[in-house]
Amino acid sequence: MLLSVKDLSVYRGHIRVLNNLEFTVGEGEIVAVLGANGAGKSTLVGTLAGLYPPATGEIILQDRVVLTGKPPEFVVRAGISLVPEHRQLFGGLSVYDNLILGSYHRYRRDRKELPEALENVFCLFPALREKKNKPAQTLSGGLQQMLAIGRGLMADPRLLLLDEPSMGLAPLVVREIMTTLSHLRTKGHTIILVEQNARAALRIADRAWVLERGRIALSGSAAELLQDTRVQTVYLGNSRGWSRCNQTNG
Amino acid sequence: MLEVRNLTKTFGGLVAVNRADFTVSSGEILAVIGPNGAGKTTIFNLITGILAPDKGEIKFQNRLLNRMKPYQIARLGISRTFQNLELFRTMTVAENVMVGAYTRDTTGFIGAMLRRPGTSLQDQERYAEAVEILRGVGLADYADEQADSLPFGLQRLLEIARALASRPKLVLLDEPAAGLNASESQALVGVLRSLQEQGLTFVLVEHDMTTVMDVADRIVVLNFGSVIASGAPAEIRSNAEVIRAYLGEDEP
Amino acid sequence: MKHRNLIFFLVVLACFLALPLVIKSGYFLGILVIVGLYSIVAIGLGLLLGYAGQVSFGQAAFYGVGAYTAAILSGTYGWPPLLALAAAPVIPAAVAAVIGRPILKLRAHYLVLGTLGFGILVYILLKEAVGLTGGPSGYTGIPYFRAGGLVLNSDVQFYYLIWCLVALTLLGAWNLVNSRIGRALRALHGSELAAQTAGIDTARLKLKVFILSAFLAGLAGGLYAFYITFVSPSPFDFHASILFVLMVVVGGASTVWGPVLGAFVVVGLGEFLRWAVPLVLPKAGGEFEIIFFGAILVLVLLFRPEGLLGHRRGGRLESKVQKEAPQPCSR
Repeated sequence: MLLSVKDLSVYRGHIRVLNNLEFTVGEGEIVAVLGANGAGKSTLVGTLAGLYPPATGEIILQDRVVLTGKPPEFVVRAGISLVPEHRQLFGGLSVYDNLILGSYHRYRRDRKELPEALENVFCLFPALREKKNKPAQTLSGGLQQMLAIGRGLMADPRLLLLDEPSMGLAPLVVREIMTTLSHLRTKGHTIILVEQNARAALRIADRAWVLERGRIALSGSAAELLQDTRVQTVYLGNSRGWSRCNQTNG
Repeated sequence: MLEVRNLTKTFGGLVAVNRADFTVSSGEILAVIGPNGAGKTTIFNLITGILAPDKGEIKFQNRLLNRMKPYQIARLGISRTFQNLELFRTMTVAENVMVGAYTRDTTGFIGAMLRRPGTSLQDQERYAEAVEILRGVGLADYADEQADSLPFGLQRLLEIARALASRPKLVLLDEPAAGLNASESQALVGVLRSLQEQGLTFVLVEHDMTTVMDVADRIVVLNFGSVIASGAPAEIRSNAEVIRAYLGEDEP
Repeated sequence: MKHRNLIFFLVVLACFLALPLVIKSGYFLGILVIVGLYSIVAIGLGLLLGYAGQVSFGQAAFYGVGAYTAAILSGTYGWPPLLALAAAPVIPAAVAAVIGRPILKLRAHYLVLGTLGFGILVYILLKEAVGLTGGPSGYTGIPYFRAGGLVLNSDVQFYYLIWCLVALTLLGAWNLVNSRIGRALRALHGSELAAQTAGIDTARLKLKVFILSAFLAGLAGGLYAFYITFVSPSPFDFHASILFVLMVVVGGASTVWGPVLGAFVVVGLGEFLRWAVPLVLPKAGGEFEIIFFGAILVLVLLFRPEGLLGHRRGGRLESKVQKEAPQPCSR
């Protein structure tokens, strides 16, 4: 198992946001995380990235590295990289600087590998290469999201966490990003994907969890969840009009 | 109600909005869609006076808005929400909405210090009213929580509640459904529809096409700052140029 | 909540009324008078800094202009003291109205520098306009404060006058903060953009609070002139401006009471250090107090970033507490 989590509970302030979560993530999987606002999705990936200390439980990477309670910089070095909600780019810095900062923890050690890593990101998102020297804040929303993912990849992660990468993006761009994620999986990356655009996420995911009030209320293969009536009404909006549009999101 | 004519805005050589033309009629819900960077948010910033247009004109109920300050435009009855959320984070949810009602009261600076009779009564009314508005968007239970304790999607709903508190004529919504799941956006569509029935007019920028198709009476499509199409949802859906620039081809 | 505050207010008021009956020492009464004066300045600055979010490192200048206005009008021009005292807040307020527009366009550290520069400018004017102000050696010849047949010339009288004014100032500030205007102030602190689109004329509102803070500083200055009956530039230098900011920050910038507590702490500490430091370090100069002030400020900012009376808010993470959201579909 790449990641195994046991009995994970997390408080934010006085509120218990995650309740005794148990799950594993295998090498090369894409796991989608669905759920309502406040269900604990962002807290989950934030906790895995070391931003919030868990109250109970343990997080173990590759059966040996204990990540529980470790600070984010340790977690990044161990191989988990978070692409946060709203991208959180360094707006005034150039695209190039943003990417290089993504490799901050290995800058010294892997210096020789950085040009290749950079090249890989530019191959993945050719549009970024053209804007290499532009400040990140001048990019369109889609490019900013690509840059955020690129920055995450520059850390050379074993596990990539994405928090709502499709937010605020045009349908065409959402599709492009989802295609890229699926491509990353074929190259052996493991991904946990938090998404409100459930249809787009389930299309590329192997498995999915539905979080409700800090618990995994439902889990299964993406295909199973696509057929689940509750998932269909709450997260896919199947009762609603325009099915063609839903497809374009995929 | 709102007329945008030949509107142009450039940022250091980059044309963000290029001779955009469109109108909004009273009581309709107009959706503005288009690729990221097409100038949608810039248009909102031009209408609300945060940016000044280089060329063209914006008229609201036949009054020219071009040189007005944001607070003056707000007082004419235009309110808005922000894509990147501009909440008063340290204030409570209800207080955020009460600030939205600012223009409807007249207690001045000195009057407030002397606390003329009636002030606290007015405040209580405003609070009750704020809770009522919050109930409409499903946030009544959070009225006394600090605004930044809400999850992101609910903060969006709070922005909408705040925008409604001024009893505006026109509300501009910048990606109201971002961060909401399908059923949450469906609830939002219901809220907007019922407000429309009460006579409100909406312009919204949104990428979630299901929401747009559900709620919009008319759609304007922008690309590179120019209007490339406008019409009823059914027309837009089958417009070849829109599919190419924005929606993408049908998948098998 | 409101009633508890009112009761608290009344209890504190009663204590202050009774205090001179207990304290007979002129030294301690004098300190209380100064604390009262500083409180008035600090309450005004608290509104500006804590609520509207605008920093001013020039409050001592308004305090000084108020003091010299009262001194010169009553001394040189022979105005009745009551009239001179009434003019003391008006002149600084007018100055604030003139400089406010341009200076409040500055943001964050530029605003700090702008107000700091203004403070230094006024200090130099007070020092150099010898014909008007008496220059560095000070201005003498301020008459006793009299209103009707009553002459105020004792510490006890000034104590009551000034603390009554502190109470009124607090009441006014409390009303202001708990009103539509107070909400607007906090809103503009939170997001100026959103405040504007809610119809708030933020530039004008900031200017009004700035004028109010200058008005209160000037009032305290005028009272100071009649209390001491002598003014010189040195109490109005930029060091004093820093102390005012310190009072507000230490006491709690986003509370109405905080600045008053801050005035007590800063003045009390200053007096204590002046007494204690020579006992421990006999050769230490007066500047040693500054080191302790610095240390206290650092400690407060470390452990109570919202000030002593400030509402304790959690760290960045805790303030983003997530709540269980009801399923919207079940509504």
